[in-house]
Amino acid sequence: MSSTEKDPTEDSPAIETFHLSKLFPQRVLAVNRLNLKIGRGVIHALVGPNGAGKTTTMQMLVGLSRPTRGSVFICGLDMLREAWRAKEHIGFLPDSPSAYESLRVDEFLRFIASLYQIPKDVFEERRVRYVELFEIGSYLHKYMGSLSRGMLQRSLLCGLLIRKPTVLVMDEPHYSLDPEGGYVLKQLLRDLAKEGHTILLSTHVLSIAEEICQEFTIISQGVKVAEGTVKDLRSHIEGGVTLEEYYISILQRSEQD
Amino acid sequence: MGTRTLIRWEYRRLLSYLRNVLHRPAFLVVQIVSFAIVGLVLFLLWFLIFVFPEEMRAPLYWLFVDSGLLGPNSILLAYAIASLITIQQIFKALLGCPLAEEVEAADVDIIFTAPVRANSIFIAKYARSIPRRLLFFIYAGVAFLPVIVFFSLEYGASFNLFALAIFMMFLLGEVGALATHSLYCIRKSATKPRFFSRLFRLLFYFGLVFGALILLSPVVPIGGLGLPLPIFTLAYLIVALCTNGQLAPFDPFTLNITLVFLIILYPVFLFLARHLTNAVGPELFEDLVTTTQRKGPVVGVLSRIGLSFQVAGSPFRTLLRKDIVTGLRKPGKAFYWAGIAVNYIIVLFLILLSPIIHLVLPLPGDIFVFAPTLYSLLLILITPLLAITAADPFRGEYGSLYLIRLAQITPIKVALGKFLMYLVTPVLIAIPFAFYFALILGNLNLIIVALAILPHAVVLSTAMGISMGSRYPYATQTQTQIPVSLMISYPVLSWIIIAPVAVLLLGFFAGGIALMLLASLILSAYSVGLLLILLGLAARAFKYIE
Repeated sequence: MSSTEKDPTEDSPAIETFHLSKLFPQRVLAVNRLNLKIGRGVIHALVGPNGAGKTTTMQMLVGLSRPTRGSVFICGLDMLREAWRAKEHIGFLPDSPSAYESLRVDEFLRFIASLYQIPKDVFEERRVRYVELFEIGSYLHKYMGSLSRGMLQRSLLCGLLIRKPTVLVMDEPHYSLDPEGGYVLKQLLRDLAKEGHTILLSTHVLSIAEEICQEFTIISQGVKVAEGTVKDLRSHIEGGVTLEEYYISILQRSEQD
Repeated sequence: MGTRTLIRWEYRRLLSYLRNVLHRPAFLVVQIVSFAIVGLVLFLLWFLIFVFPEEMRAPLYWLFVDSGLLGPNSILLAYAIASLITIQQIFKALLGCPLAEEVEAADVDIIFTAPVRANSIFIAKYARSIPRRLLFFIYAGVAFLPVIVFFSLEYGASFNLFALAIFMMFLLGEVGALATHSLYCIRKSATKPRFFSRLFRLLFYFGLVFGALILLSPVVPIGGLGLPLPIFTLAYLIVALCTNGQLAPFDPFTLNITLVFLIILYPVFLFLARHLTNAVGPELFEDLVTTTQRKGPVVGVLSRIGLSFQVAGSPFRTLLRKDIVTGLRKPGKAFYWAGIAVNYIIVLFLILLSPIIHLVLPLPGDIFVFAPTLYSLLLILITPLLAITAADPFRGEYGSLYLIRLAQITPIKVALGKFLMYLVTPVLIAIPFAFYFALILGNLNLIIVALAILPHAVVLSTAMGISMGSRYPYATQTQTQIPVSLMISYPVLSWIIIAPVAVLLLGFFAGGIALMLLASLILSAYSVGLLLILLGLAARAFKYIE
């Protein structure tokens, strides 16, 4: 790219979708005309009940599932047409992560470094930092298949952060972590957002969304039913109404509509 | 990331997996037992050939023959079955998409979301699948070695020719696998209605199979006609053995021409598959994600027949009923029952048809070799598909164990229940086969022999199928541990079947028959042992989950 040309990834929104829809072969409309626009350096919560379409949306965002209609842009790059380039900017942590059972944790981290061609010195610096942060130093020589679910989650998070992708998509990242791990993750996500990384996370735990996210989108039956900043959310829940009550009232209203 | 780096990591992970498996006690136990068995067989061979007094051999042999239960034909039938089962597995190894076979759940989360092109993933996975396939062909070669030595002595087929044929089968498998993958890509890139898409695929498979048959084509004279079909050759050879017929010699010229043809075809298909993979990247990823994560409908067509789970009097019967109901509801079971039904119908048809043809047309006697040959071919094609479903009771063990641990049922009853369910498929496949060959060979006692031996052969076939790791490679720890053990113990098991036949063919009838009986006992023990090992590992895995 010449110096006069502008890199489309610089000032485009981190995530942008247009009329994103997914119809499964069993005629289940998992996501229906979903429009999202998430800026840089933001922690955005995708909230919704079970079966709302959160995981399907995330799979389409990271290129694991092809939208039936609509389009996805990651840092201005079309995930369908320029998947190769778009995937360089995105990192994904699934809700029930799997690992290469026969690789040791340390080998797995090196595999990730190799997969994303991270320079050796950068990798070593990040490796030391995140291994210490997630306290997995004593597990580095253990096989991934022998780890507990919580330790596996920590190892995968470590692998994800070693890459430092511009956009992090995380499906229920707190699910398997103990309170200490959860706390470390929250702090880390805040720091990453300050550095300009964008984080989209799905969660059922509303308190987490309220605590660390600046923006939120609520979806139900594949349709967006509410969106805004957490400040907006708080303005609605004055007068003795709890967050849960407000959330449930939104869902009930959407079902009636 | 480059293709080379990905290939390097694939092989590194493969070695790491093997290193991990080699440290497991269960794996070592299986190997020690396997070698102990082979040692025992070799000792018996030595004893029967060199130590057992010759004057006692003939009386012992006639004792078995006079009892009416066993004779040379039954032994040869057992060999025919064993050979057919082996060939089935070779067929199974020939077809299949290397990418779909090798993709693991972790690949979806880690590699598919990385900036790696689809064709790089395809090439890396394909490269990883080659040692597995090659290993299988070497095993098959080892298994057939004694037979080849025997035929070399009798009919002049050289060992070199045999090695060449094995290499060609391997190459044919590679071309077949790449062609299947290319077909998938073509099908994905063309927006066709589902019916035409399926029809297209079906036609392709037919073309591929018959192309394969013609490619390996030593000429077989049957009924005065020169049939250039190699699998027919093998099946004919087996039937000819059973009926004391003449064998056709191998044709070195045709083999060499075919080899050159395959060597040219291989890079063409590799290029085609690689190119087409990139064209359908997103669709391919989505399909693999769906397959790997097992999404989609989990209930098959047979769920509509109205069968429902009823409360039974005892926990044991409850377990059996649960297995039957859930087994019938699994996707693909309609195909499985249809296959079983077709098997019965064809046998009935063949039994009725043979005398009618004989009455109406004045054909030479050996034309009837053609009918069992056709039936053998059919079995070769359909049995792997049916047999693999026999592994069903082993899958989903976590659910069973979770309930069983809380219920009043002993582990022995669980093992027994699972074993009974496991034998359903082998026995159903064995019945028409046993009847048909017993009628063809004119000895109804063979029904009993075939029913005793064939289910074990199908169990072995399934074990081999699992060991190929081609259907369920991305499953639980239990399912990935066992395959490697089985893969290595397979040649040992093949020898158990073949050794008695070899002894018999060398003229030691009594020894051969005694070994055959012993082999049957060992195979039964192996089937039960396999089941217990699987359950034990499942229980251990379950404990880890807790």
